[in-house]
Amino acid sequence: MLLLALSLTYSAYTLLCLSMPKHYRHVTGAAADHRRSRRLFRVGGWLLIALSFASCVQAAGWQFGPVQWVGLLAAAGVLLVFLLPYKPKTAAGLAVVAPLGALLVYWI
Amino acid sequence: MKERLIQSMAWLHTWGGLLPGWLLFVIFFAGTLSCFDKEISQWMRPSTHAVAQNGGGFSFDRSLRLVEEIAPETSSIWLRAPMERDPLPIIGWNNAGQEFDYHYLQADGGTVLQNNTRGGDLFFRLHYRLDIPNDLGVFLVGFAGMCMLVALVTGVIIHRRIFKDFFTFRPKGSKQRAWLDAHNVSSVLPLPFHLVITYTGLVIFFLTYFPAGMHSAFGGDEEKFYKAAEGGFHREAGGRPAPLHALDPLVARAEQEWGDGQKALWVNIEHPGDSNAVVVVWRAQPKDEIAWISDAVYFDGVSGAVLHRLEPAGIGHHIEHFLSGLHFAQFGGQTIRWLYLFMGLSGCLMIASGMGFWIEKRRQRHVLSNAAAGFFLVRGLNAAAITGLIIASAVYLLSNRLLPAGVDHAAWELGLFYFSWIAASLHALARAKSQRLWTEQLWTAAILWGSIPLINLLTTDNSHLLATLPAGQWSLAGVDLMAILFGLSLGAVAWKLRHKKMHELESAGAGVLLAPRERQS
Repeated sequence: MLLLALSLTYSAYTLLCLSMPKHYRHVTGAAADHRRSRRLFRVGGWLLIALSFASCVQAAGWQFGPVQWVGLLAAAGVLLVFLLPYKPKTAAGLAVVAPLGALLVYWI
Repeated sequence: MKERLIQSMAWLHTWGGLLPGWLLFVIFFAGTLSCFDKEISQWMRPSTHAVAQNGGGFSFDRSLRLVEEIAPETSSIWLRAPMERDPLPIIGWNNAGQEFDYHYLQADGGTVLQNNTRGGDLFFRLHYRLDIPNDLGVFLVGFAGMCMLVALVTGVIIHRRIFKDFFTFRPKGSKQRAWLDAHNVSSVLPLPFHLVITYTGLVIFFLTYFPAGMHSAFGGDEEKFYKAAEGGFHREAGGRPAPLHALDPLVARAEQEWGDGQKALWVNIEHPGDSNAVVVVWRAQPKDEIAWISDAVYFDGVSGAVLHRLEPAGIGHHIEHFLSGLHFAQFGGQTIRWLYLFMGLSGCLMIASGMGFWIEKRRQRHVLSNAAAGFFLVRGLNAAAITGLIIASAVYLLSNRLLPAGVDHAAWELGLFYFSWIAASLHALARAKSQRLWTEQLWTAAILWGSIPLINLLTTDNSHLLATLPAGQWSLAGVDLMAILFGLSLGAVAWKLRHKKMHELESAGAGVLLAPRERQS
């Protein structure tokens, strides 16, 4: 459950990051901005932030859940930020792979 | 107006952050290690690892007999049961007006542990009082904590692009840029943690820092205040000898009173052997609460009758316990502790990169001018506080494994800790003008931390990773894993700085910091 919450937080941050033109251009290598998908990234990012909060509270309760969530936000954020300049594509891909992998681990 | 505000806040952030910065790094790094203080203490007592823990051997009465052997005349006795994170029982006692004396027992509870170590307690005391025995340490830490709060708030005000640069880290740009980005990222992402941990840290000592309220309401009588806040029961000694009631039946009665399978953790005996003896049975912290919840049953030490039951804390007291509970991180198990460790490391990075940025920003200006002595002093002191402490901490853990069995471990380990810190600081000050200062210190730290699991493997039979991992002894394995994590990260930073230096020297031609001998190489 912790792994799932962490990967959701990571994906949320990645989407919010991609909603910013400079990071979008850096990751995709595109020359132009992404006017249409921007809003989608932003809304999706905030939704996943909410979902990660819900999964922390679900797993650890109202006392420990929010504390855990703050920790995961920091961990996911630092991971993304330090990966981004070196491996931008990997950083973005991880946002898709990580939650799926976590779900798989959770089911097994 | 707005520009002036930002300018004055920037000034406050720079100097209010730099001057207590060395202190703050010590507090943060020691606090980060204190997330695992009990695990470190356990790790540093290898003679107890092979003994079957808690093999039905522990009983409060048995611990009491050990106290009676060592200290037959005493006015107050404390006994602690084994805990999950701290599996060795503790016995302690003091006479009125004397220091509390305590000892750990062997894991089976049968004998007093000889040749003790200060274990993780050193980091804990370094964290909250800089290991200074009187209140001066607590006040210095409080001062640094206030500066930290000021630096956090001013930092948010002067950060013009807090959302735009939320995800921005540019290690390939200029060195100054990279330091500032690293400082911003390690500050902003865990900002809720930094704010809460600093604020709650100050709250824990509110009575020491702001005693005015207590003084006006209770006339300066601290004992009276605590009695009003925490309740409890106290009676004077009767003066006639009387045999003490057996403890274990009283513990069982208290546990029955609490219900829900709650266990006793501490037993306190006031006036043992006296007709007015009192036995207090304290409950272990409930597993589902952040706030520290005290509960105790008071028994007559002779007849075993219930004298008093502790009332639940009032709302103000409960809030205070909640805030300090958030700081102490004794809840939520290993998950919370590793997250705190990680966020604590971010805090260390925030302080270190902030001081690194101060240096980078002034490098050209100060090196070219004549007034560079202060600049190099700051640069040397930065390394003394940051890598010096990291090196000393590794030496402290290593010395536990490498010192021979005959010497006084507690004294030698502490001595080597401070000795290596002083040695690293002297090296830092001597090499303050060298471009290689940081890489030399970082490599030393990386090698020392990285060698901890190896030395552990060579010097112990049951305490190294190859033994603790298969046995699922996570608290012991955690210390070695933490050492590997530290070794790798320190090595990575050392490697990065080495590359940066070459890159930057070529592009900017900024060889001004190099000593002539190094410039040729």
